[in-house]
Amino acid sequence: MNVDRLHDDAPHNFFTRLVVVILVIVVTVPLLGLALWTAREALKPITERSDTQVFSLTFLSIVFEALPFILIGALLSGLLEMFVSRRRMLSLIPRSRFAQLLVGATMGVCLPVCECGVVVVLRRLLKKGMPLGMALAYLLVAPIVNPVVIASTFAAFRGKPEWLFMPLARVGFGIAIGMAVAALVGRGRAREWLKPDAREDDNHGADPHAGLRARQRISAACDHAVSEFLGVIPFLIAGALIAAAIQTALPRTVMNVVSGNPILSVVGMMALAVGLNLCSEADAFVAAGLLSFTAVAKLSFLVLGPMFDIKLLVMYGSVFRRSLIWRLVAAILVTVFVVMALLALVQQAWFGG
Amino acid sequence: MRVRDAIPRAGWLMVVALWGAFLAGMYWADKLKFFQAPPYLYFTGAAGVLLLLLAAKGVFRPSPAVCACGHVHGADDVCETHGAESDGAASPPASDRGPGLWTMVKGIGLVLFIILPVLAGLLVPHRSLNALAAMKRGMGLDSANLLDVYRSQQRDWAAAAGEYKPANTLDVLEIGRDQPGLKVRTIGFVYRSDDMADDLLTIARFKITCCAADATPVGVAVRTPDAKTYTSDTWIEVRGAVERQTIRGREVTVIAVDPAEREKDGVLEVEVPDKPYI
Repeated sequence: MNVDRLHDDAPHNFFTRLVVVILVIVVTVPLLGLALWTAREALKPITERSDTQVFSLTFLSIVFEALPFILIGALLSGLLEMFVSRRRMLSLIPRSRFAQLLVGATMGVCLPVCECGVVVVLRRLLKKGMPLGMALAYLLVAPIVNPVVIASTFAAFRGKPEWLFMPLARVGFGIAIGMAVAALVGRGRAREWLKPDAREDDNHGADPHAGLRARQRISAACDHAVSEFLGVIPFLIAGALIAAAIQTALPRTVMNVVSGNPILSVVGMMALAVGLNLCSEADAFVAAGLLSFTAVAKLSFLVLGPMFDIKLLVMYGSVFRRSLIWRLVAAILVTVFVVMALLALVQQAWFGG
Repeated sequence: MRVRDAIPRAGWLMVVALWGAFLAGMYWADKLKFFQAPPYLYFTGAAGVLLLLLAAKGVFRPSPAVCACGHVHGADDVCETHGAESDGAASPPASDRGPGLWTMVKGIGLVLFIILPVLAGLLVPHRSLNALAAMKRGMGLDSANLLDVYRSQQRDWAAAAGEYKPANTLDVLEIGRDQPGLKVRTIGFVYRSDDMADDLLTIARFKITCCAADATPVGVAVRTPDAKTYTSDTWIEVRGAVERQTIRGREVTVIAVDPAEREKDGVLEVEVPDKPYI
């Protein structure tokens, strides 16, 4: 299967390539089919087990769910690379730090991606020279202010006492906490905290793609997208494996233990958000179904989930170095907990719990 | 040399094509319904087609030339970005002699990891979520509290045709709350735990919003004399009257199967329905 010279500069024509592709398909498909069939028979004692099936189903459903959005993120990232020069990007970034954070946090309304796609776009934004704080604000808040997410939050709490409070508080606290964390973590020397591939391009603002025609740019954007996709998908898979293991092993009913105490229930719901790894478009429905919990506990679930969970922890590894990831995670957890615990105490003091 | 570079561009394009074919195939074979709810499974199918197109584009129309950014678009660019390799460790200088054996092994490992979901999808026979998952996700005799979250589509049950109104478990809970006494027929899987009375079982379906990760079991109690003979995960159709009964001090919605009716078609074992989730 030595087709690795396919990309040589030698002018292979269309038909040579077509023949190679057909040959590869004709050779590999029957072989793969045979291997799979054998493995399927051999593994039956394992794959027929109930827990294997639940695990595999949960694992694949998380991957399937995230995949289209990662692909959209990858295409968006490819287009950003080819069509927005660094100079143009820098001209769009406001001067004051607060304005940077605010724009970063609200950018998600017009660059809407959910939490899986945002990581891919983020890397490209950083490469183009976006300040770390602004990029972090975008990373943390975009999955919350995504219009689809806001709508689904409204839908989940429709007809309940919290129907107005929950979506508004989710967006409000999401923006506030995301900006605070971004301000806290995003100071200092960004370059050292980023993986080499996410660092700003050092070409002094010149457009490296000057001279390419639009068609060539789109073509290159597609190849960039494939590259991005392959780059981020191992992280998604690793995260989904862990998430599926947690979902399969831990019964949700353990949550009932903590639902009585306002502070403990915030901690419990935060742990649940990290462990369940739900898409921010679906989490509101799960939160709304946990009736024994207070509104504040549900809010902490809805604010934390899009910012941090196991899958995201692994995916952050594709952009940031470990030292930054730990700072970021600690800042998110502490800020969300402090704000939500205060809110829980206020609620208890005023409304008697 | 980085791990990703150990695999030639054509290899990566094959990985992308395999993923695309897998997703499109799962959609084509109507298997995605076990994993995802409607709008989302169309996205996944479309993503499969898009990946196939991108792979084909990479083979037949690689993008031109080197530009000043240092990327060789269309050539090694596919593996240009950021793999799972540990950075920070001093990477040995790139050599023209090709990847070393260890790098090659790691590269193949990375490819296998990336296609792990494809292998899982093809090797594990997937069915809809089962009673084990229902137990882990908090399943009781009756899930009436879910009525505060979800709503059934239909309202006017009394006007529906037929003696036994076709309803899903969520509808049955709503009927139990709003207009008990109606007769219904409903399909679901059996959920039975040892602490249930001999004439009780729960019939359940999963409600999913996006995907199986957020699935929530929706169960209704069924009272039928032979309940004990049904094992968990058997799919059944139940016909009976919706009643409110007090079980263990809690008032719940129950489908009561008429003992006379049971002989004919009170409880039938059925195939898994076309749409396993509600």
